[in-house]
Amino acid sequence: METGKNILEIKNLHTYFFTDSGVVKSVDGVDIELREGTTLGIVGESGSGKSVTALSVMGLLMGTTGKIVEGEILLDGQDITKLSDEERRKIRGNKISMIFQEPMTSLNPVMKIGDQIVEAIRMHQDKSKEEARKMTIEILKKTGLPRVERLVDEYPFQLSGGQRQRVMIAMALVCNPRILIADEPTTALDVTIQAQIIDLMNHLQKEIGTSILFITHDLGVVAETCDDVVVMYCGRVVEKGNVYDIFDHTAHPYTEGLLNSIPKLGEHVEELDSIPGNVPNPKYMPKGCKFAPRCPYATERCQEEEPGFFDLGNGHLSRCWRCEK
Amino acid sequence: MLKYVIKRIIGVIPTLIIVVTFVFFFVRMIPGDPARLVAGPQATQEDVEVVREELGLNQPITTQYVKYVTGLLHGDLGDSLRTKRPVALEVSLRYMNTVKLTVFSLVWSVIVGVLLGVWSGRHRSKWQDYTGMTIAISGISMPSFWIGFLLIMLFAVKLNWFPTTGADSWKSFILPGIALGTSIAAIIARFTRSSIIEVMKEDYIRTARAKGIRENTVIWKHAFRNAMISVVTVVGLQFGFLLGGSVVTETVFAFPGLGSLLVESVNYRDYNAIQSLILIFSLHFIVINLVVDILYALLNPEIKLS
Amino acid sequence: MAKEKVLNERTDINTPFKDFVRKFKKQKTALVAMCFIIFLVILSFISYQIAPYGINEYDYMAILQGPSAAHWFGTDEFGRDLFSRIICGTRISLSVGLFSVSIAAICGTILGLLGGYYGGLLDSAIMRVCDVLFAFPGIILAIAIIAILGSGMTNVVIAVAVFSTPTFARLVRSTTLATKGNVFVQAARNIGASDARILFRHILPSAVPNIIVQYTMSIGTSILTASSLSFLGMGAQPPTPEWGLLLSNGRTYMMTSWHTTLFPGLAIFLTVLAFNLLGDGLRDALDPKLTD
Repeated sequence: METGKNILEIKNLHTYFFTDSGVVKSVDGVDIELREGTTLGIVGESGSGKSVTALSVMGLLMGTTGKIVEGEILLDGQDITKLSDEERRKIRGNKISMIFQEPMTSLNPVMKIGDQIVEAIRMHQDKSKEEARKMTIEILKKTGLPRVERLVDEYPFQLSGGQRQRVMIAMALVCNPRILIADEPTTALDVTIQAQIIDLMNHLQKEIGTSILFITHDLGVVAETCDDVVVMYCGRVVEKGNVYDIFDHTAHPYTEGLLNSIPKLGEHVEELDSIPGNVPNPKYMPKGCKFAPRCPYATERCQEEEPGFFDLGNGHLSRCWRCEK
Repeated sequence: MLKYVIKRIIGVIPTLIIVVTFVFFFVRMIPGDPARLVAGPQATQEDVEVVREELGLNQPITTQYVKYVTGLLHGDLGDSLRTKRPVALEVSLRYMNTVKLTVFSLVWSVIVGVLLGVWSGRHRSKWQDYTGMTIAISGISMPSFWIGFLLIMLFAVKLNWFPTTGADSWKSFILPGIALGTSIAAIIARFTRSSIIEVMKEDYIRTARAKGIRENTVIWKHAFRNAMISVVTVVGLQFGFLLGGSVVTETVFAFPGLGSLLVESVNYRDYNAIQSLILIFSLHFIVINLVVDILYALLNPEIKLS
Repeated sequence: MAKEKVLNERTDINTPFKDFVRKFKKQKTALVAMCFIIFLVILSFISYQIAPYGINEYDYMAILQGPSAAHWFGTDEFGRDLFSRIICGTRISLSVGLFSVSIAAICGTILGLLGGYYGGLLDSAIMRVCDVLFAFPGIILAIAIIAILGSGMTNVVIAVAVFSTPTFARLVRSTTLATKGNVFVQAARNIGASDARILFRHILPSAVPNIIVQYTMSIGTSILTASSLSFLGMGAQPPTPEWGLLLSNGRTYMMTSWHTTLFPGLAIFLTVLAFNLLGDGLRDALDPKLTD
């Protein structure tokens, strides 16, 4: 595997939400690197901070109580957290774009499909309405949508969920972004549509050369699409490495748990393994390793002391005392 | 869309019939002898009988009803007991004044209310929001006749900018219009604010921002139109408030409109006029709400295209 | 460690009422409004005792005087002390608001419960009547009722109650419809609870928060409407110190004696404002959607 340069580096990111009932540390010291032209999977249960990481990169925390309190986000070596709102706005949808989990509600119900994409083009590029419309039709055709010429003048309610997600992908890719963040883009869709959408993303990535940050809780999807994987738990990265190391040399008990909860084809099991318990309430975070209360291997030390990263070689890192040599 | 409009129009018909019937029975619901009441306490028994004849109260109720409805369909509202002239004439003399006044009030209050609401909503929990909402809740809580008096004292008496009474020039409409529209503007502002706040939480707003669109465009192009869909329905309801409010405001400014006519008629116990005016007010209210329903459909592509 | 966490979480569980109190305490303006309303209620009981002058104490030596140390809000055309008349008017406005809205709330709740729960013809009939009442702008309906019944405060109360009832009926009906299908209602029915028990023990409580908010807001509106009707000469009759009537009297002398219109209006404004602010605060505290 080629080691391209990092197009995106997240360094020691802390994003906190300041609510009435206290500070919620959704992202608490996260380091992630995305190599140019590759796909990085961010895996974790809901509440692990993966979506908040994505929103921090996009600069979409406005309107929430969330704030980046510490850390850097380097896009091509430039720290975008230091930029003004206006400069960040110019990056959004242009250099970094994003597709979301809910295709059904992510399009404006009172605007025509075409207009919503034209708007994205004309925001970042000096194009006439006709040119932008031509580009819109072109990109929509690439997503494999039928009868595109008519579809641009239709409203979102006239499309199915899968079709809407294709529109979202077209909208995200129309400005040829350097990075595409896909936040569980297939979760809300039927299984057959899921595969189609993933194929489409893989295909367009090759064509446009975009790097993808793929957020999901589905390790099966990760195996199909990703080059590297980051596993997050409670606002921290607990294990990261390339996709082979993560699947074949799993080092963290949490990753192990996630892998065991995937049903395997042709294998008859009485009961599907699941990780016992729930993600801890952010108000009552365990003192030591955050995973200790649910970990089958937890020792006294795990409950008292939080482990740092242990390097297992080849960029494979794990935050577990069991990896200490 | 056409089907939707036709369905709405048909849906209004039963309400219309019931309202007309209600108004018909209205005069006949007066406890005691309506003819005696209309004729007044000093009237002799003969006078009372004359009035009874005039009102047609000596006929069977069904005949009265048929006569009443046929009269209505011909635009005949009966004669005013006070002026002895046809009520339709009395109404026509003042009708346009009230229409102008309510339309003016509605236009300014919608514009001001929506702007104030959007301004508060987009700056939620900031000083702009608190200022806007303090203004709004004060506007709702002030009696319109009091606002009228304060306006008269300041702008008509002290500054002498506007006339205190009448409906002679456009200037006569300004002060009553402000008094009448204030609470509507406030209600619309509050509703617009909460509507904008709800819409700003929607996924498509996040999408719009993810496209890198300017915040002003996000508000006015994406949030505003969606928020307006629900605001429109409230504006329709407020129109009823305006019609009702015109009764009070027109009295304050001695403004020759339907509202002041209603008050005069009540004071004079002119039941023919009262009955007709109540009918006119509610018919307008029903029609306006019909228009609002159609407007609602125009804003909502899902209904518009079906 | 894990056990300790569980215990912590358990003590954190709030009853809806505790949750409401916690949220309501944060609504500072609503708290101030509530204090003001309590003050008004107390005032309405003791106003006749503490008023510096009698409400019908004529003083022809002091006609239409501006505010002074002797007459804080000035005097009217008969030399009556406006301050005394206004504080004694508190009782009238508060009782009109309270009575009319209470009647409306009780009737509306019963109609809404019955219509929503039994459905069918009864429901259609109730909703049709509500539609018709809604087809008349509120105050026009009130004027119509007063034109029939004659003027006077009792009739104002009835008129305001009539046009406020449909709002409660619709509100309660929609909650009833929403609650009717819930599992706990089904369960109650399965164990053989009577209709009355289901309606009042299981369905009504879920409508109560909405009813309370609507009740508070409606009091403000009804005080406004009642004073408007008195202003139009259809409500309280002289020499009652009703605020709307005081304003109506004051307008004759508006050009020379501004205080005769300013103070009664201010009294209405502040009272209605207090109820509206309290209603807003209650709504925010009872709204499950507002978590922050």
